[in-house]
Amino acid sequence: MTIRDEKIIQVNYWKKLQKDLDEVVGKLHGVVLFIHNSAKFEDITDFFNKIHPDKRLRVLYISLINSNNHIERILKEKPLINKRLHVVDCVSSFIMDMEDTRFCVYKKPPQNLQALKEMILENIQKTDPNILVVDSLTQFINFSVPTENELVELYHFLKELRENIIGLGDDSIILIYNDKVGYMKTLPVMNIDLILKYDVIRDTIRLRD
Amino acid sequence: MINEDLDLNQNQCDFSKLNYWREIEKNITEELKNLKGITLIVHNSVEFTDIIEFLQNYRPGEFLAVLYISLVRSYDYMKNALELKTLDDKRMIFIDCVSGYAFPVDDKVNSAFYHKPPQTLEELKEIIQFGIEKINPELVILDSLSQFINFSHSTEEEFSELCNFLNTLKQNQINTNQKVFMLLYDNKLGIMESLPKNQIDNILKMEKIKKENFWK
Repeated sequence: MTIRDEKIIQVNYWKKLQKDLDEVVGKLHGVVLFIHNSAKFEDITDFFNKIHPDKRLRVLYISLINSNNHIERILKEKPLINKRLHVVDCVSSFIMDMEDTRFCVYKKPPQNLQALKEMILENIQKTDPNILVVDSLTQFINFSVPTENELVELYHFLKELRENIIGLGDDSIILIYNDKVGYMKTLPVMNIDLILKYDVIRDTIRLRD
Repeated sequence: MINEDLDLNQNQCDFSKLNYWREIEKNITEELKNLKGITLIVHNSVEFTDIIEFLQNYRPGEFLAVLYISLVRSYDYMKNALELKTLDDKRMIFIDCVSGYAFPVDDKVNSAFYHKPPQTLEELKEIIQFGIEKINPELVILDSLSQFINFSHSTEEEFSELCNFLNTLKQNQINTNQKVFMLLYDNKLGIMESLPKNQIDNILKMEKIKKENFWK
């Protein structure tokens, strides 16, 4: 006989942003964990366009999952408003040698959070961004089954980023996380100012024969 | 195709298809204190004890009358749960629409009324009205709206009915005595593709994370 035992680990509370969406996202500041349910890059551009829409900002986008080619293709269809994107493409160098351009550098993917931090600091010096985006944190941690060691490393990483990057202006660090791997049993609490969740509901188009 | 705001019936209500949620664990008491009007509380099949824990965060220290209309749990069950987890500063009055007793039934029970399950939102409205007149509560909880609508597969007509129901609640009840309505909704039926926006003032989500162990 098998006995099932169920234990509640955590209850997470969320509030849907409605009228206060522009207030919260429009004035985004600090370290933000941005959780999504397998949203595509084109969905995420909608989010970017809601951040300080009236200001001209530089965005440093560290991409561990989208190639610069793909990003450029999407941005032609859904351009960013008032934002200049600088991409660190950690995907394409897997396939072929690429030559850096004015708005994109190609790098090997960082193997750990320490290497990611060094990559960020190096490229911040070059681009002086207002917004830093890491897409995605899922490459380094799984919040469904995080070990204590992984969480400590993450908090240390966030602390160092905060000390090195965030100034007094509109600076934001956006850490994107795809929760497709399962319910987040642990939500990080230290060195994170805001946790947002982004549900994309797609229409299904049924075609008849 | 992604639509941020898909208007199916612009005169009645519109539906959001791209939802942003903010985590409020750290300041849950403050968030709940500021609630006004109608709040939809979406959850993933939480137990009544989880709802008690949630209510412990609602204006703690204030003695409030709470009308709890239950379409899914019996009064006996909830009474037992309240013995395990208490809500000392709330006066809970239940309308039990599960146990199937005639209405009203036992005069000796002073914290519960019984009613047969409402078949329509119109009947539900009458039950709410009855409870409000009897108790004059500060908070009304309906458990749960899932009995009347499935936000993953709702028809335009169902939505229209719901919007009318919510409009009536706002017009008839909220402006009088009680200030807050909480409508619980179990989202186990699937991803909520459409949510009423205009009639609902706040939408909260309670996400219970469980760990399952199997023993042989």
